[in-house]
Amino acid sequence: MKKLIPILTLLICAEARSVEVAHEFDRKEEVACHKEIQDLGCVDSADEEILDCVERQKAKLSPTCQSIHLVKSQK
Amino acid sequence: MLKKIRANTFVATTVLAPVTYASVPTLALTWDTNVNTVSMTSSQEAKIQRAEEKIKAVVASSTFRSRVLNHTYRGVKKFVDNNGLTNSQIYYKILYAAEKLQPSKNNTMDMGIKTYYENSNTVGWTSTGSTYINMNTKFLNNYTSTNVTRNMMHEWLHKLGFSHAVSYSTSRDYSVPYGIGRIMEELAANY
Repeated sequence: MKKLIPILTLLICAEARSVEVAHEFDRKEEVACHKEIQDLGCVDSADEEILDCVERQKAKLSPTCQSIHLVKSQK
Repeated sequence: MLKKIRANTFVATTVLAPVTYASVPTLALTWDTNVNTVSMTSSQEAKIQRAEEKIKAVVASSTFRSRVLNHTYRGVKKFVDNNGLTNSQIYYKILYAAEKLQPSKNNTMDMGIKTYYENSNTVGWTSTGSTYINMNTKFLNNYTSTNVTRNMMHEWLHKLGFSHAVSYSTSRDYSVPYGIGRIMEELAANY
């Protein structure tokens, strides 16, 4: 039994780590926020947001965009 | 008169000119929903039920089949974040409806819906560790049943194991939850 405890712990941890939370944001606001992030130069060539870059400049974002970024950065 | 010529394919037989009807698999016609709602007002409940009816009608349609099978990203018939599946495999995954947490292929959208209120821009959220999805009443109360079909389909596709990038990008719109959610909303507007 004692030998099984580390294995069970590992399995439980792995299961907990595999749980993902997905948010759906209001599209209109999210697209507008993406534009703000793009204007900050925090979007790569694949049109994907660079979260570290946004984090450094988040004070420049509108309150709505800041709240969207906050949820994303907590993931 | 419809004559079955092979599994799930029907051809209209008339004396003058045979007409071929776009076919859908039997699984599309028998596809069902089993949605459990928690603490909803009668108006919210009615909206969800109407959305369920629309989703069933859309899934049963040959247009939905065609839109999923022909979904294209950058000139290639595929979805982004497709878990290695072809469009056809994704279509059948929807029809089999085996959720990660309720893995029997029961041909039924099994899902619970809880509501919450938050003055934010989050329409809803779900966790892969739960059979429930969470809808923000700030949006639910203003949505039509057609809008709700998009959100329900989007969140349920997460239950099937599909994911998407956290942040918005043009490519994310072509992921399975966003792409099929959008198709659902467009087609649900016809019902």
